[in-house]
Amino acid sequence: MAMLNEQEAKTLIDKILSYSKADEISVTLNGGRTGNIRYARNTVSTNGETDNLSFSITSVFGKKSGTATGNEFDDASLEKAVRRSEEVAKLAPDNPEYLPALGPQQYGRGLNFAESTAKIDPLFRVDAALASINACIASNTTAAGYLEDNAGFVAMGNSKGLYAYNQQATANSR
Amino acid sequence: MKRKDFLQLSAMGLGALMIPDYLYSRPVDASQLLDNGIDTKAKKALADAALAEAKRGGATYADVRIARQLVQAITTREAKVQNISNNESFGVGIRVIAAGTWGFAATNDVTQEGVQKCAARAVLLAKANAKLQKEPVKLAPQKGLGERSWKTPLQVNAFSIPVKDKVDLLMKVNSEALKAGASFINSALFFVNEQKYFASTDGSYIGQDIHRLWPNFTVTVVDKTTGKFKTRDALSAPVQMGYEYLTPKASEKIAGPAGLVFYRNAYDMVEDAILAAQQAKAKHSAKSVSPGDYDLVLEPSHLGLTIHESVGHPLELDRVLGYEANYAGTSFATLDKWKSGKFNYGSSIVNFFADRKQPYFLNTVGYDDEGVPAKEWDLVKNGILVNYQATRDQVQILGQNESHGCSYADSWGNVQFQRMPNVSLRPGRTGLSVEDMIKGVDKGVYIVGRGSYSIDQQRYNFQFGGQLFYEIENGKITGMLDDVAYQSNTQYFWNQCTQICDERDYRSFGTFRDGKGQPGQVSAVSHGCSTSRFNKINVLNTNSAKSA
Repeated sequence: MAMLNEQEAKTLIDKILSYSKADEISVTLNGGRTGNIRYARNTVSTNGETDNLSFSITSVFGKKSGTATGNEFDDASLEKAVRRSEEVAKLAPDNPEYLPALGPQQYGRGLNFAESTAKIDPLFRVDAALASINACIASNTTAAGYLEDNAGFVAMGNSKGLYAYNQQATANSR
Repeated sequence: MKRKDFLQLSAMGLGALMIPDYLYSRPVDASQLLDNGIDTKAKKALADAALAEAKRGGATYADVRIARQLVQAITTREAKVQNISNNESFGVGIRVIAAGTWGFAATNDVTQEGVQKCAARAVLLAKANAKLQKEPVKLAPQKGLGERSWKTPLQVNAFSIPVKDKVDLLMKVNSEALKAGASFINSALFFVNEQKYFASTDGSYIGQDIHRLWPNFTVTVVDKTTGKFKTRDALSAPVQMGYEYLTPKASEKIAGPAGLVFYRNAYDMVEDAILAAQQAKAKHSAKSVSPGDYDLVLEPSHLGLTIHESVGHPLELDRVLGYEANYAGTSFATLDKWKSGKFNYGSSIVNFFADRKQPYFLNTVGYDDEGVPAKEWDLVKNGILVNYQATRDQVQILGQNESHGCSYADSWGNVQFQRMPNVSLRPGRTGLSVEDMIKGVDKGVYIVGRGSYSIDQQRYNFQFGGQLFYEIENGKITGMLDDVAYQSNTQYFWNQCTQICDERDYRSFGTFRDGKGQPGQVSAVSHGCSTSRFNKINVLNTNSAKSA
């Protein structure tokens, strides 16, 4: 659930947009998975994987805007969040610097995603740690290290027809 | 309402400058901070579903933490509000032992399906990591406790106080400091609420509701003739209390030497800011210290940091064993020193104890993040190193069969591991006031407040500065000093401790964001002590222009 593809993200954003009663609405989704392995004294110490998916909704009435966030994705929670953003917007004073949301845009595809990095799994991490540990054992030293990888996406859409989606993946060790 | 005020007070769309960076937190409306979240019955059902799934997958042990963290931060400068933020983070972390190895997975999908998938993932991770494991994890026994709960004994939930009232307090602090001579002032209030539900295959189901707050400021006074500036930070301690901490009480004030005022369990932020402005101004005409050996008289708002760095950290068992070697560091206090039973960590009057029980202290809990009830134990007794800080899977290394209860995770998304409990210096057993201590010093420096410091990765060689420094000559404070830092090593320093004031002077120092672990985690911890004397400590002059 935390990692949505372009179509899944668009379907979810379109659903959120459909609840809107505001002049204008923008939705952003953030999601992904982070994995890590830590080792010391030539053995594993801690490891883990964390999934996270959340949304942010901004509704606009005239020059007033309000934002609500959430991480519950059932229909009732999504509609409640849209209503909440509308309530906050109605309470807000006018923003003299308000600029209308953009319509559909053409964006270049990001270069910060590698499928091989996104596919890192627990076994890959274990093998990487083992390689580090074995090299240290061979040189009669003790290994202590950390490997972390992340794969995620950001998607945004609005009531003017804009939709954008980007994936990113990172890995680092220290 | 004006737009500017709305932006300041709504907290929506504003950045998270200076707030504790709890994992995966997101901005929310302030009203949401008073929402109770899901009820205990629902949490128990989710936890049971996760535990059952873990056991089905082959786990021999599992624990579940359903956690919600709320953070509010308000930062100001002079007459301006710089930022107000309200953040919430909610999710579940599941830890298992399978194939003799730990596995951990977390998700913010807190549904039955979500927690079951997460539990299965944790088991998969454990089994994968078994390839690396040298010896199976051994847990110290912990009896299942059934259903329990614990909460901070607060009087006023800080989140129930309107943001406007908090802004008004900081504006008052700032304006009074400026009237008293400050050129600039930055002030802030930080509030944290951890709502944690722990369940384990041992049969414990524990709900905890923990509240912490930290009022803080830095006053700056500029001498326009020289262009130099002097600062003084707040002498507050971050505490585990409600908003009542910010209601001044005469009974919680301690009158110190040289017109100083210290605070115990109620803080007068306005008064402290006025004094800070006066003292920062006085620093401009303070004498620059002459380097050399001095007897140091160290006040608790200063000594707490030295305890934290030179006692708290080196006695973390994971550091001692090398588990933090690639990040937070190791420790000079190795197991052979402990095993000898003769290692003089300090002089015979030095007694350090660890605990998670002292009221108002930041690290106090009912139970740790492994379901172990809070306790107290000695670390250094009559100067001798006698114990460390350990968790359930570590304590058998010490030949002990009961965890110290030092497990903590700062978020549902991070795995729990060994963190520092409250580490405190027991007050002197015989009656001794600060004034009487100073009377006995011929050549010394009295140091107040935490300043810049450095310490090596084994926690041995260090130097510490402070906020305020006073020269002691022939038993009397003769004036303010500047440019002071002392340099020593842990064992020498604590063996030079010759006097400790009695319990009348005992109070807490705290740090709100102690960092450790990978991925990085923060924890909040307090250190209690009374003013203490250290003979013949090397004092440096930190102003290179004057000491050259």
